[in-house]
Formats: sequence, C-alpha cells, structure tokens
Amino acid sequence: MKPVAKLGTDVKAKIGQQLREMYDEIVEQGVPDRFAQILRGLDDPNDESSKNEPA
Amino acid sequence: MSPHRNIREVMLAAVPSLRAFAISLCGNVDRADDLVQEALLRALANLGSFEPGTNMSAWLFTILRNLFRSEYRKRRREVEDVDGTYAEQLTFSPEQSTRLEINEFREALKSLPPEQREALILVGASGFSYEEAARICGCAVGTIKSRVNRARGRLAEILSIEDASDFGPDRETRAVVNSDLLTRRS
Repeated sequence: MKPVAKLGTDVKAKIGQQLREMYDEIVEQGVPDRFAQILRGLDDPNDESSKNEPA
Repeated sequence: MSPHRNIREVMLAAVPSLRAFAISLCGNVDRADDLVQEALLRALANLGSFEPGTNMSAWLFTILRNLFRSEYRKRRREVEDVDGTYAEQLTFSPEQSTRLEINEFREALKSLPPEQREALILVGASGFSYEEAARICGCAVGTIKSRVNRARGRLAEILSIEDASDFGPDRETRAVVNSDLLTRRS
C-alpha cells in the first residue's frame, strides 16, 4: 500500500475547515418537515395538540 | 414529558447532523433524504433495541451508515457512477453558499473511497471521537485513524492544498487558488 505522506497541521486544519463549512451549511437547514412528520408519529395519536405545535 | 415525546425530541435534535452526514456521504440531496427517512423509520421500528442513556446520535448514524453501505453495494452492481452523474443533480438553494471552494471540496470528497469518506466526515465534521466512529463503522479504531489520514492525504492532493506555513495566512493561498480556478473555468 502506498504510504501516506505526513501532512502539516495547517493542511489538516484547512481540510477540516472546508469539511465543516460544507457540513454545517446542511446542518443549518434544520429539520425538513417530512422528517418532523415521521417523528410526530411517536406521539400519542389521540393527542391532537401535538399535530399543531410549532416546529 | 412522556417517554416517547422525550425520544422524539432527542431524535429530532439529531436529524440535522444525520442529514448532513447522509448528503456528504452520497453527494445527492434527494437520495440522502430518502436514506434519512429510511433510517428514521427503521429506528422507530426498532426503538426497543435502543439502550436508553446511550448515544442516540451514534445509534442513528450507525443505522444510516449501514443502509448506505448496503445500497452502495447494490448500486455498484447496477450502475457505474464514476463520471459525476449525481454531481450534476446536486442542487443547493441560491441563498446557500455556492462558493467555488466548497463545490470543489464536495467533488473531491465524492472521489474518495466510501470507507475513507465516512471516516473523515464522522471524525472531522459530525464530531464523533475515533472510538465512536469505529463503533459506527464496525471496525477497529486504528482502521478509522488510517482511513482519516488517507482521506486527508488524498484531498490535499486533489485540492492542491500544501503546507502554507511559509506563506502566511491560509487566506492568501486560497485566494490565489480560487482565482486560478475561476480563470480556468471562464
């Protein structure tokens, strides 16, 4: 197997930063409604109030 | 708060990161969202096997990761997805960052073998420890470490990221790289 060259800390930092930026962009979109709806099924189906609570 | 209500809150809190993991893994928003949906449904159907007090996030990530891997194996037999067919479908709303750098990064990430990609994302973005990532991927801690290293090495190569300590702040290097890419693209 090809040996992996030793990476400098700033190379690691830069890759980490770009990775997190890409990732956090998606995290910041929150919970799309389709998933909130799936999880709403966990509540008591007779509990009408849970269907109208704010996200 | 009912126990179910409580579980729901914990699962809801895990969804944004779970979804970011899915999208980063498969590079396709629609497919990733289907994966998230399937993972959540599977989690709900198997709530009994979740041990209260353990990490719900890690549990959900494990389910999603296994779904992705089995789908990936199936898909590879059906279609070869090496030439960016899915990359073209990547749709991000305009208010989101469309910075060239992030797009380049996304493409580079997609070119990594999936086991390196998942290791790097889990440790570098999802915030799991090497030990947690190893449990999620069902492998040894040392394996995760070497996958993360190889992933970083490959990305540095693809993105031409070099040790910039001699050249001052990162920003300068990046500006040069970006303007170079822009020139090439236009």
